Amino acid sequence: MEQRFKGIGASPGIGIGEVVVIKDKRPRFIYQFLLNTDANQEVKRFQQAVQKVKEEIDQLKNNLSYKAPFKEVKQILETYKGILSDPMFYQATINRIKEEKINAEWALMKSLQKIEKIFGEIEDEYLRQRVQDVQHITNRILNVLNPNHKKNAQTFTGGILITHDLSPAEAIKLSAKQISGFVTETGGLTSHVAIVAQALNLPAVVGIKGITEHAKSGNLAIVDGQKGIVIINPTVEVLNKYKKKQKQYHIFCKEIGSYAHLPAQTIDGHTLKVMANIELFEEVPSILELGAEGIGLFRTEFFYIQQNVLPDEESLYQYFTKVVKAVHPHPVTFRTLDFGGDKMTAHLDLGKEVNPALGLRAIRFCLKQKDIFKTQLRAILRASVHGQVRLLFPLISSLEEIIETKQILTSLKKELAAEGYTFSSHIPIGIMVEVPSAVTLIDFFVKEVDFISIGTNDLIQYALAIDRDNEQVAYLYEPLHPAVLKMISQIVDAAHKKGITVSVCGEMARNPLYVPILVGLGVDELSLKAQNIPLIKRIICALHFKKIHSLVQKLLTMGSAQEIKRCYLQQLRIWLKDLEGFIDYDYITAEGRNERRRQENRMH
Amino acid sequence: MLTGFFRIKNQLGLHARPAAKLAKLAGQFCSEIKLIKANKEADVKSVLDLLSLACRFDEEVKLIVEGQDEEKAFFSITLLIEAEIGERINGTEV
Repeated sequence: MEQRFKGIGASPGIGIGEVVVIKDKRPRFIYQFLLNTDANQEVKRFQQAVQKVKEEIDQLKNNLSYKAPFKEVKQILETYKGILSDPMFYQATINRIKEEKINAEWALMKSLQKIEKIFGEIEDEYLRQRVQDVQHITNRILNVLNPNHKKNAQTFTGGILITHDLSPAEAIKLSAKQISGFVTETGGLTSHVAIVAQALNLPAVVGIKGITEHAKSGNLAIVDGQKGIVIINPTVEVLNKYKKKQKQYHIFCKEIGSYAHLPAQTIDGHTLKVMANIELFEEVPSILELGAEGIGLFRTEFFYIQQNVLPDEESLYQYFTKVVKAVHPHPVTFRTLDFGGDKMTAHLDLGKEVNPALGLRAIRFCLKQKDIFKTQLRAILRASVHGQVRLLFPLISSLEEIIETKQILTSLKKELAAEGYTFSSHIPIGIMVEVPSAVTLIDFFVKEVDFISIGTNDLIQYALAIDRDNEQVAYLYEPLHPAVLKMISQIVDAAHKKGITVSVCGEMARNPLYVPILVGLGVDELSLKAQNIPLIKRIICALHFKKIHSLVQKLLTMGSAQEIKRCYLQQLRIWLKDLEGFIDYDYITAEGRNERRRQENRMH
Repeated sequence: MLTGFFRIKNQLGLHARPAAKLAKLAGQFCSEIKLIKANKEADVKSVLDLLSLACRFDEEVKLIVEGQDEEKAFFSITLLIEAEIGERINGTEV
């Protein structure tokens, strides 16, 4: 008989296959007191086991190809390594072996219990659950210590895995086998195994208590990772429906991937440039593979974070040159330091900043700490000779800031020329528009610069006076607020009148739900997290520019976000009917958005 | 000894991955590095100790770095905290 279970959809896609139920228990081992002479050898045995697990993790890490989504998976594996060498885990176990004269397994279990107890007292549920990571690692070490115990999950050869709990490392290993999906009793959307499943494109449903009791090995099962549904012994009718759905999903995924290297052109021939936001050089190969037409936002501060001291001009130059060369012939847009000042000047008493978001940061900080600013600009100017370089200044709120910055740039160019350095004669200069005053003064600003980049996250936050990290007011954060749309429209109009381009590099640019509006508003470029580039291109290709443009004109006459959303969604659902499964319509409501943001936060 | 005050700005607080990054970075220095919340303190070099401090959204923490390479350590750790989880609150201890 058909049985349905509802859990949490942890990773989209549809898996159909034969069930393999694995009731995994912690390996059995004996608790043992050691003879005096054994302690050192036992410590060694433990250390070797830890070393072996570390090597396994490294191997898993190295086997992951250089695709963007694997960045998060690698971070998770790094966390595991961190726990393995953590004093509370590693040294504490060694001490227990030595002092209490007990075997490694027992000592390890004692360390785990102590950690479980400490974590059990944590109020915050999410943090409390991180103890799972420690449990997974403990189990793995116990397995290595007792090699005769074959872990059941390792005997899995294919189909739908239904099990109590799965560690991220196990999920990665399983992906190499013929797995069509997995279901676990434990876990939530934010568990690390969910992140791994998404990166591996494995359909997964988690959090169905008791499923290992209800399902039997050999049953046929369907896993709908989007909706969080598991169907055991489906009827022929249901099975056929899901087979069709699965096929469609595969076709679309493949199709979307094929859009990576196509231009983002609407049906009626209007083309946008789609670029990537990056933080580090290491991301460059994957963004090019995903079809980025350059870097629209290079957050330069992350290189500074990697260094232990302020980098000098030469090391910045070398680093920037590497990026410029790798991305050539596409452009690299360097956003100059977007730091809060306090980080760089631990020894200066700058006074207490009650509200750092409105404080001394970005261009304000750079214009105050000119040495740091000039060093960075000189390095960028010098790197410009190796390819296409654009300069972008963050948090501009007044004309004076633009003028002063340009003056600094002019004098630096003179300086460099006098010193015999070469640099490109045409480096486009742009400003980030993210402060409402910049929108009001946009007609003045466009006369001074070569392009505009809109940072929608901050602009919305400042325009609506919403701190979206504050859950009390996050529901008021509204990208489709009429004020936001009007501001973007005003910026685009002013820029186009001057013949310069407008780019959007905030979160709006990577959300399929908002991209059509940006297209309709006349934005020329989008810069986003590279993973979303193929999908965003696919969406742009499905749009008709004239139609979306005239719809947006209509939306601009409306005074409430509710009205805008209703009218917009009605049309969008018709135009993007084929792409239904790839657009998160829940995101349009504040609750849907907050839920998604909570999930995303956990992934960073 | 260098001290700094931060407010946690990540909605999830100081969670596993930033904690692991912090611990890894801290491990590169010989200085003693502590994070203090209310009257509990954690060794920044231990990811588990950091997690058990359970720093939540909007809570204030104090960073203390003391030792031979304290300046370098303070600089790097401050940057990482700001990039990953929180914002700096300037000022001296009240």
